[in-house]
Amino acid sequence: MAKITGYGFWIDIKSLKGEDKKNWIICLIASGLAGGLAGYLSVALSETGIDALGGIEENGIYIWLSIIEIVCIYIAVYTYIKVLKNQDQLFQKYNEMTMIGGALGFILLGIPIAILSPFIGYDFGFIDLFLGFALGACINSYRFYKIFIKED
Amino acid sequence: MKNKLKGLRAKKGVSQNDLALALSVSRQTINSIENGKFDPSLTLAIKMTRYFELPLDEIFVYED
Repeated sequence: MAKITGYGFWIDIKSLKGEDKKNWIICLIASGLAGGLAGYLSVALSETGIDALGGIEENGIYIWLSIIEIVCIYIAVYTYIKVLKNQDQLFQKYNEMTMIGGALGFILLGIPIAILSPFIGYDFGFIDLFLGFALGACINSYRFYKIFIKED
Repeated sequence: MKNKLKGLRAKKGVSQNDLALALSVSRQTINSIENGKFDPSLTLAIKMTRYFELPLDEIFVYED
């Protein structure tokens, strides 16, 4: 069974066995690749990035990199769900709390930024919603650690 | 919900790890239940009654 470590931000890989361990490592590699590609592509395919590259038509590789990014996301989600299904109820609760935190971050942080962005002259992008999700998920992961895991 | 898990486990001479292995959960789950931080599901509670060979209300104490 997965052992939650790092103040609720990490899972001890050694605590996973067999298929779960394999799937977790695949999930980490796929999400790392997807994150790296997302960062690279968001810069390369930005307005100035495209200009520097000489137009998207000239750079067919970027459509393939984008498809690889999507495939990596699908693989990461698929393997994460496979690991999650084999874990006990405390871990399921951890997943639940983290996802709820993410949804709250999305709604309470990301959406207000989206609504206010025209008034504050901020160039709003999808990444802001994602960062809202990530921040909310991190806050609730830590709350979970404090409530359920931390040993006195 | 309060429980007598810690005492029952000590009486039986098993560690949190042994109990976790027997019930197919993590040691963190057992620790969290013992400290009253986390309430187990009905399935896990029934597994505990079978493991300790005791009725549910001798392991868990429900107070209004």
